[in-house]
Amino acid sequence: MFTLIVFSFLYRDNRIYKLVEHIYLGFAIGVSAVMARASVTSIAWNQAMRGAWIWLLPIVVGLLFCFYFSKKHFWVSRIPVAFLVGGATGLAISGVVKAQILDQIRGTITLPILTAPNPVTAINNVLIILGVASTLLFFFFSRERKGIMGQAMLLGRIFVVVALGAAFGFIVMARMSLLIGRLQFLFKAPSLYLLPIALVALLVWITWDRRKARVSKA
Amino acid sequence: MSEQGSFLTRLGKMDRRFMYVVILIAVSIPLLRPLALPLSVSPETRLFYDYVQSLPSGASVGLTFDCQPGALPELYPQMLAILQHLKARQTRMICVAFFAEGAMIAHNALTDVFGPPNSHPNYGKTFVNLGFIAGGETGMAAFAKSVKGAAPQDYYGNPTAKMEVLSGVDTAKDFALIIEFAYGTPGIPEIMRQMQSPYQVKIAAAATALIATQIMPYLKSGQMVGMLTGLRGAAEYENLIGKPGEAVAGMDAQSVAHVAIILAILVGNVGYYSERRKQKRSM
Repeated sequence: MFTLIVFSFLYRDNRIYKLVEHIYLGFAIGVSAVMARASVTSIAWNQAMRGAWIWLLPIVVGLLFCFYFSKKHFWVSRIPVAFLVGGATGLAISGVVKAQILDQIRGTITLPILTAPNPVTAINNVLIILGVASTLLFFFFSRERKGIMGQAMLLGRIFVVVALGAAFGFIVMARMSLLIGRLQFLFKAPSLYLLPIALVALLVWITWDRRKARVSKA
Repeated sequence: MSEQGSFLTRLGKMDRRFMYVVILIAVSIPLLRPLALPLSVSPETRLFYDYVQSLPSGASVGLTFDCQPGALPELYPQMLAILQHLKARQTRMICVAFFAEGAMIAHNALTDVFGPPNSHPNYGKTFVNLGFIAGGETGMAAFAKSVKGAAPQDYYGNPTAKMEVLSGVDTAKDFALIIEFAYGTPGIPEIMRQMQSPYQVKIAAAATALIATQIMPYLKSGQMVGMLTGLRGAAEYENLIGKPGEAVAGMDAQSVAHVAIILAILVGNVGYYSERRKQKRSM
């Protein structure tokens, strides 16, 4: 029923849709809160209760977040934020250099062209190398876009546009998959029995809506 | 000519709700009456399947359920197909989630493949659901460093320290393969940073189509061993393991919907250019 109510948004925004939206939001936040509490209990609290007191430290630092609601002591809530930002940034940066820069460069410059297993792979590899080089040039702003440099930058722009097109194509595919998943669910019993009722409700709503619009116009 | 022009102009200004109805019909018909359109297997899916197929019996495979219910139409068929394949290969399956909802999704997928997990005789021996680990990327790093330290209890509250399925699995290095069901953040870039790069563990992605273009470079650079993309990837995998399911059933609908969208783009553009030409002429 919630699926059908959410689909009603496609015709027009309405109060029942808003209600379902709020129920979903509340449910999602509730689940996240319960799961996070369970994770903290399992990892930190239980170990602290077994004598590993060091685990109380992150719990105490985390609890400082509650000062967010105090006007006077708001600054205290910045302490756990600093821990979070510092820790997460340090972790991410340490991995970025190898996993997302060096390995990617190595992967690109070692692509086989002459020794590729077949001509199609060789062409693909040439395209990848050209695409990476020209796209990097496209984002090089210290030279005027003239001559060979300008042509290479134009090629980079074409690659960027093609990449955006491919990304958009995948987005359409993903959205269609969501619709297919919902329809597969709706076409099975017992939700199948709700479809005629939903259709009648939709027709009544559209008729009532149009009549209301006509009356207000008159 | 003017009638034709006005028809094309009207096409360009068509109510978007008319398009919704067209898409709804285009998707519904093949679902109710399958067309059995042919489905080829992409090289990315083939690589994924071949790698799983090459795993020896008893190999430890990590499965990270990093998704929310919104991704399930694409990822759930992938999960079922992969779990069935791993079960047939007799590997050890260690499920974990870095998304809060992921633990419940893992529970549902394991239930569909094995029956109620916690009462299954092989639970804790050949498969386990370690539940949700909070902290996003930090949680991933903690899990990679110490599997049992980051998950001292499983999803059902059982202690993990002496579980048979986790014997010999201390860090990410001890996994023969980690399969990431990817949807957002934390996802593939984070697992690359915290598990693949420091521990040199093999990673395979089972991802939504939405993020496919972002993670494709990791496959081309050899940092990933295989990749499933959206519903299509799931359908290909179902065919490869010889168990066609909901994903295969949905592929006809996907193809017809794509044709409908391509036609809509063409019609919309014809309407737009016709309107522009009309405006130029009247100037």
